[in-house]
Formats: sequence, structure tokens, C-alpha cells
Amino acid sequence: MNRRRFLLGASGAALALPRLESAFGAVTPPPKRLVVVVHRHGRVAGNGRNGQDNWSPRATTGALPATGDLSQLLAPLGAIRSELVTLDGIDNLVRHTTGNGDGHHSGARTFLTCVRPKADGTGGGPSLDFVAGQRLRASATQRAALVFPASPLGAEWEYDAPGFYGASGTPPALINSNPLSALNEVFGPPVPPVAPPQKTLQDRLVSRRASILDAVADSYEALHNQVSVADRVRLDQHATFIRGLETRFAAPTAPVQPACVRPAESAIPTYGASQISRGRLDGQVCPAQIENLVMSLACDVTRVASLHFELSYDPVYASEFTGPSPFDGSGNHHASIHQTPSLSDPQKGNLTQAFGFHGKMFVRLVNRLAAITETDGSRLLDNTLVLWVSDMGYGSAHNDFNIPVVMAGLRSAFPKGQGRHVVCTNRRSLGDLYAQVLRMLGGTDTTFGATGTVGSVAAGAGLNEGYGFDPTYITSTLPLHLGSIDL
Amino acid sequence: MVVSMNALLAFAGCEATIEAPDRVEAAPPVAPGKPAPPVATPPAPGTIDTSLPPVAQPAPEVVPGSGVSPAMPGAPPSPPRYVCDTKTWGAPASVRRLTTAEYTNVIRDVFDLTASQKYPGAYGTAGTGFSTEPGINTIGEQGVEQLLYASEELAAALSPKVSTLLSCAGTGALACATTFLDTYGRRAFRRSLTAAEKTALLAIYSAERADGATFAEGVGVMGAALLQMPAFLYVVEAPAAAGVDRLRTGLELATQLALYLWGSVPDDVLLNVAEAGQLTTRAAVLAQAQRMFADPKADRGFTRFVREWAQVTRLTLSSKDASAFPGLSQALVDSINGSFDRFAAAQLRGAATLRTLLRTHQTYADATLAGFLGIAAPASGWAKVDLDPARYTGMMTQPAAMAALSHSSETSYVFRGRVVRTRLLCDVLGSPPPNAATTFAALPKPPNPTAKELSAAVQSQPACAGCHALLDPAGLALEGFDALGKFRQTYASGKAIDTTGTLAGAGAAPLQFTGPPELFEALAGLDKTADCLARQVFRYTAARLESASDNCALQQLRDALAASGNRLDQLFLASTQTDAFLYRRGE
Repeated sequence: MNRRRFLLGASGAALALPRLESAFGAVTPPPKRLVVVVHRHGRVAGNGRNGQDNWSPRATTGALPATGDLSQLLAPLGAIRSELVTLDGIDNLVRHTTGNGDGHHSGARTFLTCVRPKADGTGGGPSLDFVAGQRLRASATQRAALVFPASPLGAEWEYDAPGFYGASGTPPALINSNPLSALNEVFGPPVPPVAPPQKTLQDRLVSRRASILDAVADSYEALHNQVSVADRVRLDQHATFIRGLETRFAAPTAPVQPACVRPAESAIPTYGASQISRGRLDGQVCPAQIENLVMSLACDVTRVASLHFELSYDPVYASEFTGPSPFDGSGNHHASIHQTPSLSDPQKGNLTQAFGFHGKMFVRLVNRLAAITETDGSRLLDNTLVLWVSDMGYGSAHNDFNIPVVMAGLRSAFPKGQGRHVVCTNRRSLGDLYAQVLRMLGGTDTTFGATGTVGSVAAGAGLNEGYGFDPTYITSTLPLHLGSIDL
Repeated sequence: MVVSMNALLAFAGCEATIEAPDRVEAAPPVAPGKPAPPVATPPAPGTIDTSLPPVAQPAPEVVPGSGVSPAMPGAPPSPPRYVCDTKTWGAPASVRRLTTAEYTNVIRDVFDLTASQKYPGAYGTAGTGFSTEPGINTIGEQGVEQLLYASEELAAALSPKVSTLLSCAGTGALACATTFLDTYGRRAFRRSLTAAEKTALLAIYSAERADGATFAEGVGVMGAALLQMPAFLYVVEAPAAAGVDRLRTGLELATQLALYLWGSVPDDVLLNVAEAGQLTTRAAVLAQAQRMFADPKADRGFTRFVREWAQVTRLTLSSKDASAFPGLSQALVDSINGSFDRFAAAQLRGAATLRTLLRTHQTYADATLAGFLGIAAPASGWAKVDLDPARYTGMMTQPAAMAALSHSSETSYVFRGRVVRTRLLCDVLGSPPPNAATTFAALPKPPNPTAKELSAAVQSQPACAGCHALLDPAGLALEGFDALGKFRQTYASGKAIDTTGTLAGAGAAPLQFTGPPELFEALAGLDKTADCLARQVFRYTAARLESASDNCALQQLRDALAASGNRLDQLFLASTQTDAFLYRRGE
């Protein structure tokens, strides 16, 4: 029987389980977790020049404003300002090694991995969440990292990769975008209150999972010496994933966290195919996915989870407008972003209002993490680093300078405290940031992703030069890692 | 003999180079039945036929950073003629997982079941634009778990059908479970199961039976394992020895034929022929391909090709803005999709040609679509209908195509023009320059601009004009179809739609047209269009972009098209006859 099914009741209520200290004597320190939040188009409007930025809370390093809005885009975050650290001066340097001028593809495929994509355009390596998840998990039986879409997705056979990748750049553990399906994916179907008197076929299938997977993995491994070297890599990887799954299903049931509650199905909205479009239901779907995400951490299904906004290219942000959204129909959110290099552009107001949805949901996420009490009495937020980044710097120009970064939670990992804004005046890369994140989670990393210089990585890929070399900053000799961040 | 040839397709920031073949090696034995070079008086094998007009163009200078060529190409970049030598030019191949469409078809064809929606789909963007590419069908940790759940879902549906599938089910004997593997497992695996596979699967069955399961439950649980095995999920081939191209085995060719022509697995006839060792010659492969063409399942394979080729993704209700299209309904969406599928499938039948595909004014309609198109409804069900030939012309003006190549409420002349350039003409276009967005935003535009006015504003910028001069004209010609594919003559603003234009860089001279019929009439007559179609069929079949070693295969396809008067069915048949299809390249 699925471990989560065993632990969690059908009603959505928490099971009456002993606290860990009573079950095992001493209190076990809660594990560290990571939540990665991603939205698209960075700071949306403005271009960073001549004050054209409405994301930054202040121009220099220092305390966040004690009252009033942090900034136009971050206005909703004022409610949790004491939990935050915001960053300026972080750049996606690896994008400039791709030779690809497309702001979407080159940014999205590098901003979480910090390595060049493979030649076929797929991910060049694992993203930060997966790397952290592999280290933080209790054992190989635990899911390394889950990605929760914040928007309902259609079912086209092809959609652009959102930037998250698993081992060796394989697809991530992308949870269903329907929160009801996600609930069952993460926690398994609800357990009937009374066990059926006789085994059903479903019971047999579930109880036989480990041995089925063993036989299946054997059949993959049997091919090892019968295929080409290149094919072997692909099939062996599949077999490895099966072995991991097999181990997970064969693992003994672990004690459950007291705060672990299966989210109530009745609280999750249902929607039809006609409504799955461009974020029209994000206002309903995202809170439910946040609940699934938070409980996946509270129930220790995983220790790294991500929330990805805007898998749809052209969202509507219906919840942020009374009456029709200006981005519905011909409004075209993406086109509006392209048109706002100047903050005086009339589109800016609507874009700011729409962006407020991300801020509100971020606050909701942080507040939910703060509301969960762990076994040692600490808040789940105190043991969880929340990192909010984007695939671009300024969406208006689709560039990769000044990626907007908000951090929250895991207060003990911020020596200078929270409630701060940090400006990296000498610039830092996403690789620097992610290495520091891994250090905050217990690692000793000094780099993340590609190392060397922009030019050396571009040359290694056969490019005479990378994309967007700029004699004033992005030069072939620029190192991909520039140092630590003043946190 | 190895040829050195280098023809540049000279376009905006986008050089497509035909490289010299990348290896020199001893020729393996000539394939049985390998056709002679398809020219009456061939020049020396392995050379460019210089009796044909020279076509290689010098590469234009590319403006650094803009991705745009300052110079328009002056002549049509048709491919040079390649004369095949006697060497075998097998093709590299990678293990690949069944696509979602193939999985769906196989589950229906083998087990008469509806496929699970949990089957993990593609991830990423295919370089060829076709769903068959191995790179986008890799699988991750989550995908493996989804496969487990998908197979459990199918097992639950399979179990109640066991008595229908197996006449011996009443015996409840192990031998009958073995029969299941020998019959249905063989079809799913595209070969007979090995002894080890049978042992492993029957062990699962036996364990369930020992635990009190019924025969049907035991077979169902065993089926859950079978449906996750690599022999089912992946197209796996044995490697060829280093430097020696290997004729694919009969079973490998059977799988390739079935996936290509049917989007599914071989039937028993094909499996029997292959296992009997009777699928080892070109003639035998051709005979099977011709037989398979006659099967309605071939409609699925061809329709998939056409949809993916022209980027006609399946229309969904959610992809369109209901407020912009008050008449939009699921029934209309289904009719638009059904019409396109029938239109595409019909192009495989009745000696349809490339010109038919691009120029016919006929389509298929039911009462719902007839209402949408403003024509008389058929007496019942679906019927072939005539549309106004002054407005409608073939594949590109089908409502499904025009709807797919649009935004949710507005048309996109760039999407449409890009399909014509990159998918119908195989031009390679560069990326927009980094400041494209800001340049566009700053452009002065008239109030309620028409697409043509927007295009003109964009093309007033030298950095934009190079690509947009190539992209926009064909897209603008199709502005007479709204974002749901309905014909129109004016915009909502009242401004008239101007579909006239000139398309450069396609033919020897710029193509002037007053609307889609003239445009596609001209395109249908170009060698470049036919060459591109041959390339696209090759990419679809091979699940990869072509390389220098595919020159001979591509030439064979071009020749087959030309010899048949550009018949689509002959092109598809010819693609089963190339070395690239029949031979696996030495590793």
C-alpha cells in the first residue's frame, strides 16, 4: 500500500498520530527544506536604466522600508517584510554562452541550471531544486523535488520547458496542474475508512508494485549490452528511475509529522476543459496548489518543492481585475510586456496590477509555511528557505540582467538578518546565488553550474562568441562566478 | 566515392549548409534490389549533375548581431542534384519512446482499450517540429511514476476484457496466460517475447494466482508489468558494427513501417512476414507498405504528419477566446478538427499531389462546420464539399490550420508566414535581434492598424526588414481568415483586408499574388516546395534533421516525387525504399 495512503485519512483530517518526541523519545530536529518560486518576465516593465525599475524596494543595501509599499510590484509583500531579503544585481551570465538570441528559450533553459542547454535544446543539467533535493532528502526513497504548476495547463503534445530539470537534464517531477489530480499524485488516493474485506484488483496492483517494478527494471538492464552506447545511457537512466521508484514503494512506512494533513478535496475547485486557458482560473487554482505544496513539505513527501507561475505564455490574471481583464482576448500580456521599456507607458498600470497576483500568492505561501508548527515547536518557515526568481531580468527587453530575487524563511541562514534589501554593486551571477543557497542549506559549494568564463563556456560549445557580448560588461573574460552575496 | 559539395541556402542570418559526408569507408554489399541511380544518363556517380542549372548561391554577408542578411537572395535556393553512388548510406538511429499518439493507437489496436491520460508526453521543443524526435521523448523520474500509474489504469481496464480477448480464459490455466503473451504481448512488443521475458511476466501472474487472484486479475496484473517494459515502450534496435551499415532485421523494419505508416504497431500479417524472414528486400518492404496504405490505419499516420508538418495543433475550446467568437462551442471545435483530419487523410488517397494539397477548394464538412462556413449542410454526417475557389486553397486555408496559426482572438501573420517559410519552403530563419521588442514598441503606428500596416511599420526598420520581408507576405495573404479560420473581408475596425503581395526568395523571380489561391498556385509549382516536402517526410520518418549522409535518400525522394507528378502517396512509399530507412548506420 502506498505510504501516503496509509498515513492519511480520506476525510482530509489529520490522523491522530503521536508527536515524534513521544514516539521516539528525543525530539528530532526538523530537516531543512527549499521552496523555489518562479514567474516569467522578471521585473516586467522598465529596463533598469535611468530609474526605470518599479521592482526594487530601494537603491542601496539597507533595511526594507518599515512602512508603506516596498515598491510598486512588491506592494503585497509589505505584510511579510520582516521575513524577507530582496536582492538587486544578480545576472544570468550562462545565458550569454548559448549563442541564442531568443529571450525566452535561452533564459528559461539556463536560469535554474546555470549550464548551457544540450544541443537538442533540452536541459543541460539538473536545476537548483533537484540538486538541493537530492542532498536534503532523508534517503533515496524520498522524492528529490516536485514542481507544482500554479496555472492549469492544456494537454498539447509540446510545450516549452519551464526551466526545471531532473538528473542530467531529464524532465522534472512536474506535478499535475489540476490541484485535485495533484493531490492524488502527491498523497495518493484517499483511503476508505474501512478496509474492504477482499482484495480488489487495485489492491493487487498496488501491493505488487515493487515486484512489478523489479521485473520491469530487470528487463531494462537486460538490454544494457544489446544496444549502442548512446542508447544505453537513455535506457539505463530509465532503469535507474525505476529502481528509485521501486525502493520508494518497498520502503517501510515512516512516522508522520504531526502537522501533516491531507488537503481536503472539497476545498479544491473543479474546472472543465473549457476553463483551462491562459490563467483564467489561477486565482482558484494557485491557492490549492500552494496548499498541496506546503503539505508535501509538512508530510515529508519531499523536501524541495517549487511553484511555477505562468506556464501559459499569455496569462489573463483574471483574479486581479474587476470586470474583464485587459489581458483577456486581444489584450495580450506578452505583447504588453514588450511594449513597456519605459515606466511611463500606459500599459504599466495593468502590468503592475497583474503582477500583484504573484505577490499575493507569495505572501500566502510564506504565511502558510509560518502557520505550520514542526516537531520541535519551530515554524515550518524557519526550516524552509523560500527563493523567488524569474527567467528574465526586465521582461520588457527580454534580457537577463538584474534577475528579481526575493528570499524568505530559514532565518538562521541570514547572518545579517531579514527585512533587508541587498544590492550587489559589483554584480553577482545566478551561479553565485545558487551556490550560496546550497551553503545556506548545509553545503560547502562555491560554484553552481558552469564554471570558468563566459568565453570559455561558449568556446567549449563551438561558438566563436556567446550571445549579447557587450564590451562594457559581458565580455569573454567575465567569470561565471564573482563571489558571495552579502547576506 | 565520396562527394564534396557545399550548397548554401542563403537567407536572413540563416545558412543551411549541406556538408560533405563525414566519413570514408569501405562500401558494404549493395542492398538487395537497390535501384539504379535515377537519371537516364548519369554523370559519374557521386558527383553533382552539372547538366542541371547551377543553384548553389554564395552566402550573403550577415550583419553581426542582427541575424539579418542585408541582401535578398537573387535566385531560388533549390537543392543541387545529387547522384547516388553505389555505397550504402545507412542512417544513425536512437532508441526512442513511443509518442503519446503512438501509445494511444497501440493500446487501441492491440487491446481495444482507451489509453491512459497519465502516459507522460513530450517535454521540450523538437528541432524537426515532429513529435517523433527521441530527444523530446526522454523520460524523467516523474514520468516513470506516471508510467506505472498509466499501466495500472490499463490493467484495471484489461482485466474485465480478458475473457473476450482469450477464448481459453475459462480454463484459467497457466497455458492460457502464456497464450496472452504469445498473442497480445507479441503485438505490443512487435516481436515474440524472449524466454526471460515470459518467465518474469508469468512469475507475476503466478504469484497473484497463488494469492487468490482470479485468472483475469492475474493477467491484468501481469499486463501492468508488460506495459512498462522497454520492448513495448521503446523502439530498440541492436547496434551495427563499427563502420558497417547493417540492413535492419525484418522485425525492425516491420516496427518502422508500422510506426511510420500507421502510428502504431505491426499487425499479425506483418509480424508473420517479418518473423518468417520475408522482409529483407526492398521489394518485400514496398509490398507491405502498399498493403498497409490500403488500411484505414494509414490515415492516422498521414494525418499526424500533415498536422505536425504544418503545425496544425489540435484545436481546443480553451485555446480560443469565447468572447471574441460567440458561436464557439465544443461541437464546432470537434467539427473543425474532424474536417482537417478528413482533409489530410484524403490527400493520401486518390492520387492527390502536392498541388492538390495546396490548391484544392474542397474539404469535408458536417452540419456544424457547414454552418460555420456558410455553405449548405450535407444530407447526413460528413461529406466532401466545395468551397469558393476564389477564397479557399488547400491545406493552409482549412479552418483548423488558420485557427492553429493564430492567437486566441487575433490572427498572426507572423505565425502563418513562418509556417510557409520554414515548413513549406524549409527556409531557416534567424532569431529576432535583441532589441526587437523595444524597436517594435517605439514604432509609429496608425490607429487600429491592419496587419499590413503593422508589417510595413516593422519593415521600415532596416534591422527588421530582412526577415520580415521574407516572413510577412505569405502571412498577410492569409489575413482573410480570422483566428478561428472563418473567411472575412474587413477587420472589426471596418478597414479592408488587403491580401495582395509579393513573396521573394521562393522562386526564380519574386512571386506576385492577389491572394492565397495565386500564392499557393505559385508555391505548388516550385521545385523548392517539392524539395522541402521531401525533406519534411524524411525528417518525420527518420525522427531527426537530415545530414550530409542523407543526400542520396533525399535525392531519391525528390526523384520519386518528380516521377509521379508530385504524388504524396508515392513519396510516402518511396521513403520506405531509401538506405536511410532500411539500413542502420555502423556505430
